[in-house]
Amino acid sequence: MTKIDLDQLTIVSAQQALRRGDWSALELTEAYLTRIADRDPELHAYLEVFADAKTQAQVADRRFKEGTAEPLTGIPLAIKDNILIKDRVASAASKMLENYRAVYDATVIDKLKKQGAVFLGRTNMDEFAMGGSTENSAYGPTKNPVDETRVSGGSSGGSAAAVAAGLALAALGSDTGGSIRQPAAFCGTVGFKPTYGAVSRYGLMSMASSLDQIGPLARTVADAEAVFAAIRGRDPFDATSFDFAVSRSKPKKSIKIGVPESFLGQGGIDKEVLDNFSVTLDKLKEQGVEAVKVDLPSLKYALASYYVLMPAEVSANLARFDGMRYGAKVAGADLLGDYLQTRGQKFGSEVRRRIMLGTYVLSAGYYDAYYRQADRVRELIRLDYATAFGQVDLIATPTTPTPAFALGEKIADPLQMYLEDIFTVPINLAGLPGLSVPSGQGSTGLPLGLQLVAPWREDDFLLRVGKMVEECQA
Amino acid sequence: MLERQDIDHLAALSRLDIAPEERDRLRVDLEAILGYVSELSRAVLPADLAADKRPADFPHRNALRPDREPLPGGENTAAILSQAPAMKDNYLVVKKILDN
Repeated sequence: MTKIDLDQLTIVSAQQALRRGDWSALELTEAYLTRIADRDPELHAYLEVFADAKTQAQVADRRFKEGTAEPLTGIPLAIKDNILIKDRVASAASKMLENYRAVYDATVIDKLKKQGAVFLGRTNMDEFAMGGSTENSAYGPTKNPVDETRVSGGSSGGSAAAVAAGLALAALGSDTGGSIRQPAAFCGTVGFKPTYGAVSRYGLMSMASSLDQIGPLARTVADAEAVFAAIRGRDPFDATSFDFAVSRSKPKKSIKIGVPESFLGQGGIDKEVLDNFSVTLDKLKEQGVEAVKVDLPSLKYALASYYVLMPAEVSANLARFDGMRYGAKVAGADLLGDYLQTRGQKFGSEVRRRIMLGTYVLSAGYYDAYYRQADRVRELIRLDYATAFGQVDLIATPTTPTPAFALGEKIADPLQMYLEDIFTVPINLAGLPGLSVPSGQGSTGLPLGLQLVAPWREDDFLLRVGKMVEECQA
Repeated sequence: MLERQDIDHLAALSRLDIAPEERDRLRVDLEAILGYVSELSRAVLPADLAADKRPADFPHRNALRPDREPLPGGENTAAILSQAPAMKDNYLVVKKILDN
């Protein structure tokens, strides 16, 4: 058997090796399980490593023998803990669902199973996907593989750390306000949030339904594209999902990237982040890309709009956890007591905070000032993007205003934590596709990411330009 | 300004039992967050702001599934009910709502 180099491996190269018979899917999965046993006790990227991973790999090996292998057959993946896999625990890193077993497969899981992908385990996250550091997990945080004193980002921090440390070849995450792109940037991997509706959310635990989207975290843009190709498409179980044709291809010389300079100049963004951003842009210009200034005047209200709309939807979506139908139950004195005790004790503090915030902004007397105003500002933001995309093909910003921060640094101050989402949130509000590509390191040696944003349904074009960013890093 | 009793009221509306020592902390946090999001009131909204100005390829729309059974009736019923914290004779057990 040829040696498997997990630090160099990609989905594309693993596929070729599996087809050539350099090694089997079982040997590949065993290599990952060995690496997980070695590194995960320290990193805590996984909440559970599946005991039957090797059995899944053996099934994949049979498909190679039979000649029925597909692009992801035998590829070891990690799955965020809020995506349902039938008969397995899906806890969303919450005590509320500690013992909950999924009754059905999420559509993305169904598609990956049909391809013969191998699920290594379920990854750690902020409870119910609420947070930017995985410190809100009820099972302890995931550490950043690059510097274990720092956070992995969140909420898909376990998925990002697993990919970055070579504990999975790629992973699924979910992104409501940056939960794929921000941890990808912090850990030095690729993170992709497709156009709203490009991927079915059936079987994804709902957080804020007008914003949630499933997407891949991977080592390369080509790998993210391979996972996206497998999971995208219309699904009758998610009415917002749709099919769209592979988008336009544009010759490299004429790509125009918009830079929202006034938004970048608002303050609160680390100098090393801004420096890295302009160096990356310069490299792209050498490739023939044109960078022009764009004005998105409503973007400055995006974070405020998000932190009204998102908790409002959270408060409604999480009302289903009542201690009656599924999940944990803590008995109170009467029926109301059952609700109060179950929800009060089994939800963590950030989840409780967001439910209360959402309840507040939706309550009589405050609805117009908060929810309605935020919704109208969201419309303004969408129109800003529509106008900007009349002038440019893509919009670029840093993915995050800082590199990965220290564990414990922001956990006591929720507003500081929320400000980390400043660049990622507007894309969810507008429903656009967004991609974070590693853009090297800042002066502190920590990974940084470049965020590219394309018009609606231009996901393929976005991925193509993402590959150019990778090339100019090399 | 949020008062202590506002937090109590919000917790009750949210169906959350909040420990007394956590309430002051929540009051401070929620006040800071509400203070931040209040900048929304400064956004100038055009009088003609309407969804019909959206580009044609815009993905957010009011999407409803067809009004018929998406799955064969009863397909997952047993598996779903097996997750309930308490069952009796095919019913979910809940406490009495009305006293006699």
